[in-house]
Amino acid sequence: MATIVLGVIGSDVHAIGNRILEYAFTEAGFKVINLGVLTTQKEFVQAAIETDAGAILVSSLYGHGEIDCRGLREMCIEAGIGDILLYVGGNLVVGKQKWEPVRDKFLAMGFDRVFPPGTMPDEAIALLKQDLGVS
Amino acid sequence: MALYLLADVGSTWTKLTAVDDTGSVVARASAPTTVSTDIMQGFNAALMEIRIQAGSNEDKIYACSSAAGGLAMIACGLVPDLTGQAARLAVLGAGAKVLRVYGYNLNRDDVKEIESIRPDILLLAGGTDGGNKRFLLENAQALAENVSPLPVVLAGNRNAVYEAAEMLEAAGFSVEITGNVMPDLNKLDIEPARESIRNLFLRHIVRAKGMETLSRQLAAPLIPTPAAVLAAGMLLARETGQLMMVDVGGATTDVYSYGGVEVPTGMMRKGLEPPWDMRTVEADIGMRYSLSSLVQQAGLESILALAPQEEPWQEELEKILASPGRLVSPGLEGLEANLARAAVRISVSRHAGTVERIYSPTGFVDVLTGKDLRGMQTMIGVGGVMVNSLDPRGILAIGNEGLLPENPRLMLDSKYIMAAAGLLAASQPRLAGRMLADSLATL
Repeated sequence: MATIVLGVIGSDVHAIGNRILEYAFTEAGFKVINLGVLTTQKEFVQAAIETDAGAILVSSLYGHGEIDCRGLREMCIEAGIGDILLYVGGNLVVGKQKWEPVRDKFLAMGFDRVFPPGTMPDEAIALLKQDLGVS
Repeated sequence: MALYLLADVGSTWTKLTAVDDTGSVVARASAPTTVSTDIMQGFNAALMEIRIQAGSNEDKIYACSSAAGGLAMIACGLVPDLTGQAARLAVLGAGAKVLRVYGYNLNRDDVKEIESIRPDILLLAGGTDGGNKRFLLENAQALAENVSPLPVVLAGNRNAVYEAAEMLEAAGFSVEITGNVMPDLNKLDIEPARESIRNLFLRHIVRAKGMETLSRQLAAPLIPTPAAVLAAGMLLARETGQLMMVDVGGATTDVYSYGGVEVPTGMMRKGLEPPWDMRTVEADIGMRYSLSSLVQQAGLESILALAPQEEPWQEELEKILASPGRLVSPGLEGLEANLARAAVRISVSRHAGTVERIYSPTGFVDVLTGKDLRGMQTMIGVGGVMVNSLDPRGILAIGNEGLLPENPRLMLDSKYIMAAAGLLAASQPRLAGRMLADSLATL
């Protein structure tokens, strides 16, 4: 089964959702490399290279996701893993903003899938299996 | 009564120590190391002296060596902060000298450099188990195609090492496959690699003439001298708790620590988990050959700050810089001690981890990387610079900023016994413990 790198980006210390995702993706058969909270872009990229991960799953719960995530795709390209799947989810922006513009902003940043608050892990698992071509 | 002969074949001196089965030193002798002709000449010269002093022949001989520059290695990993760092720590932990650490793919210049450096052993790592295979395989291929055969320890992704070994062996390399230095992300496992390095050291490192003759007479395999020191520290730490040792030399400063890996409550660890027994070597910090970079790092003002008068110290410093073989002039020993203290402070600070306070919207978090040395109970000064100093305590008293030891007991290996005791640490721990206890002096 595919290896995925999981973590909460930036100065964000929300640990509970991260543990739930680790559990759910492991149960679904993935080898989860969980970097935990306070993870920098560099750590995500380095971990993905060393473990030959198929996807990087980024969480952001504290509203600064836009600033933290900007440039992650470019960093992957620079590091030679430009084709890796990038997922992001959580409370990506401050306040109650319309979902579509938020989603489009992150898609434009180079993320392959963007998930709104309240997404259940099963939904992301199904899409990841589809994107990676695994059953 | 059994007599153990412990030999340390150094780059300039071959030092022999004989101990009886109570752990008492009954004889010590040294002779210049005869590396250009046959190391057995120097060894036998010292041995004769020992036999006269001891009045009888030895029963078992153990030896370590740092002759001909010691065990010189190159390490290759994938990501420099991950398997690159793991490979470096494994090499240092085996008692070797790290000539280079390469990350990612070896390019044409890198293989040319490896070919011209000709390390004794190359450690090839890369990828977690089940992780990246490409870089390890490509690097094995690059080595096989462009470098003349070398002993290689393969300590990378377990799913790629056999294929890599085949490529290297087909090109005539001798390969030892061992456990991955980083089987899981940020999880270090360097003991298997260390063991393989020691095995290869034994089989291939006979560069100095006579080393093989000596090896055949030994009761246990010949090991690199830093490996013996590391073993002595391990024995002490098991008996007395977390400790560290510092050896300031002419060219490098070695730091050893045992413990300091637990994450204190309220802190969070990031990055590689450091090894419990860790050795680091600062190649730019030393009292003679690396003096100019030591002064640069420490700052001239801080070196001269404690001088009774600045001028004589500054003049002396310039003289030493101009001729590294020089001994410090009488009356200016304070300069030497001050330089050594700077060397200890810089090297221990680099050995120690860091803690960074990160503020988040929900409060702050203290993020720890590397080792937390605050709980070290003992700090031991090892080597000639400490033993010959009038103020070893002053050299070791470096303050307790950051994660440095908070309130360690300062000690001195007053009889220069560390390497010799380390040679007996595995087979005769009781004797080795006795030797150490006899040499260690509280400062």
